[in-house]
Amino acid sequence: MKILIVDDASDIRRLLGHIIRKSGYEDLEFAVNGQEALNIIEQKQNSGEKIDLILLDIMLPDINGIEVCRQLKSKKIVEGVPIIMVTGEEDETVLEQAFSAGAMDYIVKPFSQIELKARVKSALELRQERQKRSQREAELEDATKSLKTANKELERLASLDGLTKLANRRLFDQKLQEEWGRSVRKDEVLGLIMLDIDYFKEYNDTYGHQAGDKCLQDLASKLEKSLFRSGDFVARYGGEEFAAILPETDYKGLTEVAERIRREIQGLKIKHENSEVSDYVTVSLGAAVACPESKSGIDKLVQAADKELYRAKENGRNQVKIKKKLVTGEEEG
Amino acid sequence: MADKVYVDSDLKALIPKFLENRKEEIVKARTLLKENNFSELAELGHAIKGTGGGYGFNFVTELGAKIEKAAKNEDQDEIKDLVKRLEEHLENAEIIYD
Ligand SMILES: [Mg+2]
Repeated sequence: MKILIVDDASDIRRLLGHIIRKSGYEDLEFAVNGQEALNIIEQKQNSGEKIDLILLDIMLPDINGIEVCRQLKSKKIVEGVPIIMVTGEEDETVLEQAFSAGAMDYIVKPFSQIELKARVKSALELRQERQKRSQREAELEDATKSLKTANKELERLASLDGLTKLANRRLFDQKLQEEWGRSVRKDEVLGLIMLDIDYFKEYNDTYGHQAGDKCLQDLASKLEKSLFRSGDFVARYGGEEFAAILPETDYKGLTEVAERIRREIQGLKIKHENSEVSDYVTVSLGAAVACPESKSGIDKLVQAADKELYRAKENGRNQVKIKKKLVTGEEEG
Repeated sequence: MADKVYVDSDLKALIPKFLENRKEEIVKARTLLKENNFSELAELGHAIKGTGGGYGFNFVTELGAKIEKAAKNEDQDEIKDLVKRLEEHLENAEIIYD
């Protein structure tokens, strides 16, 4: 515990020092006037030292002790450090000024040893408690921060498909809900594309599962690139199935996007010698546009797009099928 | 008859310096008296008041308070008398360490 004693009277400095040392606090420093006290504290602040208690005379030859107290309190290093005023008399006004300047306690000269020891002890206890508390607060803050970061990361990982790094099914369902709600509020249409790799089982059988995984990854990154509007969203829906949500996209827009995806994936020229429709890996796409009016209808949109995908498959694969009629909540099939 | 002063035994080492400083103050008080410098005399009385009792010299504190008061009243004779009493007290004090 580091204690600064400020008094212009040498006998008082010596007496204070003697009694405080006897209480077991050896680390003392002395100042003979206000300016010296301010200098010592300033220097400690600059060198990163600490101070735990200040005993401050009110009647000082240069600066009044109350003003010294005010100036000391404005320094960062004195934050939470108790200041005990040592005063010649118990003048109410002076004491009020001392307290409003930030003093924690006062002791009247001449003081008894017992009283001084008790005041110093309780001030230092207060100081320790304050330090412990702010340390605990800092630790708690750190812990909260890292927990938040960890949770965010966990949340992110839980929403991603490990292989393709696209959003997973869980996030897709969540996103579709959000976009559906937004479309209801904005009275806008909402497009959905479902796509599936043609003859993917044969691809795996021919080239192995590792090649199959690589194929999924290449398709995923191509899909991400072909959906360049900021609101567009693509996810891995199932094994070799992907889904894209396209807000504010009507039949015409959806046709363009779906066709572009089909062309670009074929354009990747991933060899597939056992495909019956092409020398390369291709996809079939089904899509539908909804005009969301109420909460219900999300499932109908997914079903409609899925049904179109089935039609594209049935119709010979490597093609796009889009439902012409708008899907609404009320509509059947 | 000597004035008995009871001082905490562990302050023993500080007492010679304490007495020396009071003697200097007595000299200073007399100089200030000659100069009619009552404001500094009041400050001096205040300082004496604050110092004495802490060392166990309660009568010194009492005299200091009286000097401060007399200086505020600019009562030269009273101050002269008080300083004399302070001097005698310190010269005759029988210090008992306990
Ligand atoms: Mg002083």
